Amino acid sequence: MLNIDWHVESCAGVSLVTCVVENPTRTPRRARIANRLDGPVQPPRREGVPEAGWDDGGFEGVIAAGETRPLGYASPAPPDDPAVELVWTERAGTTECDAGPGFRGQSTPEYQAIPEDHATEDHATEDHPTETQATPESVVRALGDARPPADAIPTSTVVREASFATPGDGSDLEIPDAVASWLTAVEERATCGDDCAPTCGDDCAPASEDSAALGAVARKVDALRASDAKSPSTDRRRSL
Amino acid sequence: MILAVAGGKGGVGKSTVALNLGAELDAVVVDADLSMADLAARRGPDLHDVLAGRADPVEAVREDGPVALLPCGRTLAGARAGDVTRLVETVEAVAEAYGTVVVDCPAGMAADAGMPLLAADASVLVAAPQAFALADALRSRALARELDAGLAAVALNRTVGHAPRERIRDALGARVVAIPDDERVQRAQRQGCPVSAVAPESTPAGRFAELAGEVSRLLL
Repeated sequence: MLNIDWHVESCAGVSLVTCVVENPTRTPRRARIANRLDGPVQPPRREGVPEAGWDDGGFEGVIAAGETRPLGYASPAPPDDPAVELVWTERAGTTECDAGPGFRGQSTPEYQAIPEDHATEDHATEDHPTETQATPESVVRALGDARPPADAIPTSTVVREASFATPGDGSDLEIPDAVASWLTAVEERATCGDDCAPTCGDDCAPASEDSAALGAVARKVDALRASDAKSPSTDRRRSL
Repeated sequence: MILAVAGGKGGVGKSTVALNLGAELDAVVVDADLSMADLAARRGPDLHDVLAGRADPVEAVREDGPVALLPCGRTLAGARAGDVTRLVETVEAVAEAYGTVVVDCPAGMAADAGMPLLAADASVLVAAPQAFALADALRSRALARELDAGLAAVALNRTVGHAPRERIRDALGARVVAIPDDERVQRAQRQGCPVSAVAPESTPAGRFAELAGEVSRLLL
């Protein structure tokens, strides 16, 4: 059968009830957890709407096999003992555990948000490796692949054609990927390193070996532009 | 302990908070913004290499800066080639070797934003102080909770004047620390330094220490 553990505390005239329902059995079980305080249930809400499973008497829902479900609610009534009671449980059909949208593979994704004042305790959930845990694959399925699309990655052929458009043709050209990577690396080597002097700013000089390389590149670019201006020809592209 | 620094919107200052929090917690900062690396690094294997299986997570950690850092790569091709599902085991390997990891999450709600939350034990949300930013913060908190990375604290970043901490605390349900807008923070960040290295007595430095204190109190 199910195990229930509960705790109630009073805060600013409101009773805050937290409980943990554990299903140690091998089958999913539907359970009713009733409020026993002398006052109404104020359930957790999302966007103003009570979370699934809650009503004015308490909570009813399916606890998956091996699952430990945290539940919480508030009530204007004073604390009492017991604050909650496990009224009944019954075996739940397997279809009741089919996944809806969400990260969890097996159980219904009813996320029982605990009352706001207990939010800082979220981090203290134990790691229960049940079949209901999210996995990296389920995160990708649920949230979508964020990688840049394949056709956004410049290929070397595309780069070579684009970089030889005639000057002044108005096209807005990207620096080829390989060149941009090298320039970024030069820029990074030009930082002032680990010395965090506040006067450093953005005006650091390139490293000496990079200065020589930058000079060589600048001369090559000038030479290419000069020869391209004299006799623009498709043959030029192949020599590079 | 693995802490994710998240916040739905781009430009709220996640990388800045991650670097400064990493310094205060003596953690390794992992730059998990796979398509837009923020934390500068020099040559050597980076997170793109690790996610593509070309490098080991621990060998990609740089210890030569003011904060230990596992930087991200900077090319679109690298972002495309990496397997984002490997991020969880990557971060766990670094945490096992070093103890505490702070993950700088990307903006948005796609798998690259969710994966660090899946790996993390808890999260710190970075929010801008403007009213319209609260909706993004609420969405980020919902995602963090779905992935069991409960909210440890909120960093309200680049505040000017009075910071609406109580209202944001009520909405998000966690302690809010306001980091005032200060040019020294940005200047230090450009050099890969925490503000405590260039202006240790400043208010922002004190607030980052406070934020770290709150995280430590809850998690360590």
